[in-house]
Amino acid sequence: MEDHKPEEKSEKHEHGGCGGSGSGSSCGSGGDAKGGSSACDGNGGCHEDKSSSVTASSTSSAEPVTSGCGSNGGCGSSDSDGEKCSRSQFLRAAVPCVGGVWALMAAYPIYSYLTPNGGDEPESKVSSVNIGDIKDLPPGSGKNFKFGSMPALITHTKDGELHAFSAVCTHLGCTVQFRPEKDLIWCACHGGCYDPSSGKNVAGPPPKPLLALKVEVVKDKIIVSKA
Amino acid sequence: MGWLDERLGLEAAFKFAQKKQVPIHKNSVWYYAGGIALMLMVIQFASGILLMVYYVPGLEAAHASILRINSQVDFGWFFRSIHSWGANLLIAVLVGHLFSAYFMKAYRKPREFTWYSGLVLLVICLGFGFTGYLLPWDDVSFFATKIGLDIASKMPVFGEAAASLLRGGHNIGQGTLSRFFVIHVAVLPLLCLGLMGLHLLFVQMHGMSEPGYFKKLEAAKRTYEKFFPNFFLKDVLVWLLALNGLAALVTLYPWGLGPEADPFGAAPIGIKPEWYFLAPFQFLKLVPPQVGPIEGELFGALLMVLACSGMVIVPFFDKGESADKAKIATYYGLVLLLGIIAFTIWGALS
Repeated sequence: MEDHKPEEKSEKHEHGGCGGSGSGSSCGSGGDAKGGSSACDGNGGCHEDKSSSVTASSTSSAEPVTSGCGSNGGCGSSDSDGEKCSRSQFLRAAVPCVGGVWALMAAYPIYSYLTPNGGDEPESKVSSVNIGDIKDLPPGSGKNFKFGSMPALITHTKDGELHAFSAVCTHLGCTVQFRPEKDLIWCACHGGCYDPSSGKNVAGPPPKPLLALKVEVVKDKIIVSKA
Repeated sequence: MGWLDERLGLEAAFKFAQKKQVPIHKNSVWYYAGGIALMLMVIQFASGILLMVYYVPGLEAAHASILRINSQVDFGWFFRSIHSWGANLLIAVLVGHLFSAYFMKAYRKPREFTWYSGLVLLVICLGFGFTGYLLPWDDVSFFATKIGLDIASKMPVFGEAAASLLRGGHNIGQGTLSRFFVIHVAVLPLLCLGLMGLHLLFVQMHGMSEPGYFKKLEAAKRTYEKFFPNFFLKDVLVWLLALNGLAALVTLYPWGLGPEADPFGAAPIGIKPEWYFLAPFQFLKLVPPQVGPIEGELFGALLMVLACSGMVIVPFFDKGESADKAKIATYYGLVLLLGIIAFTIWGALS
């Protein structure tokens, strides 16, 4: 793109157009280094001295034009010799910079649009639930239930105690269940096991115990609330 | 014909196709894998468009709409089974295509971009599998998505933000279903079509890759056949056979549908992901809760990424200049392939 042929430049000059893509479409590239003059009219047309175009072709390899937003050849500032960058250099630096800023400006509303706005709460707003009669939950059994927006689990251990936990496995978020034959809280996804009394992780990959909930029996009804 | 040729340059394309050659050697059969994948991809697009006519991506309606497709819409079961079986076969064929290209060293110069575009296409197809899995909203798909997004959330830096964007909220629900639907039917198809075009363009630019032993043969002993019509006609025959195989599977083993997802119910006993996610599923079972200072699931996920990263760096590691590096690359590929097969079988049996 840098090696503009004089013929191409002179042809462009005749047409007076500038700014298209393809060979010879950029205007005045490198020409300013040798003092070639270029100017643009109000319609975006480009007028150059033919001599400056010829010079551009002969100097572009000796004095490579750098572009970009960095310190080398950055536009909007003069180089070490005090010469201003050409319009071509400016455009080659400005287009990616403006494009980048535009992309960021476009990305922000898209990201905000796609980000969930908290319509559903991470924590259940429910503070307690009645999960039924204690007679329906004999010792050595367990039951999954809904605690607000969170799956939960109650166990009635063989010692007669009631225990309730969040049923969300601390490994990868599957919903756990009580396995009476193993007397364990168990996750079907990756085989994680928890103690049915304490909710402590006792086998498999879960890294933490289950979140405990508070259990009370009021008039034979099981009431589970946040601990 | 002349009128069309003047406008479309058909003769030039025809001459190019006739000029193109396919090497004949003992591993030539693997050259058909890409063509089969292309054919299955076309089937996936066509059957997917048909399914969209009746599928409703709503929390209360998704499962019911698939039930309706399966049981009430004429040939609904057929097209849904084609889509499900086709997806599975496509992944299998792509894995075969990937490893055959790998062992034939087709990633070497000048085919690095062909290799990378193929790798990304495989990832896109796995993305199709993951997002499409949730759409019927049955119990297995619900928990598979939960696990997948939880793994994503454990990834450093952008993990939680990416998982939250995909989930569309704190829990898996309508937000997740809508997003997965859009990704499955709009985002991934666009990416896939663009990348498939590039992949095919690269293949045309560089021609068919030739294995090392074939290149070393004397010129007289290296035999080729014309791509058009010889190889193309064989390709069409293989497509027909593959299509018949798919039709047989669809007819004999129509794809089922599990019970509707219950976000508050326990994960069903015996829950397993699709076969192509069985290897990571089984691997994650083995990782302890804590490995040194790192959480087990993060450690497991990073280890899997690390194990597969050789596929990304191999074009720059094994450039064909060192026999030792070529051997190391081959052994790495073998270990990775055997590891994936072993964990998949283990996961299926456990």
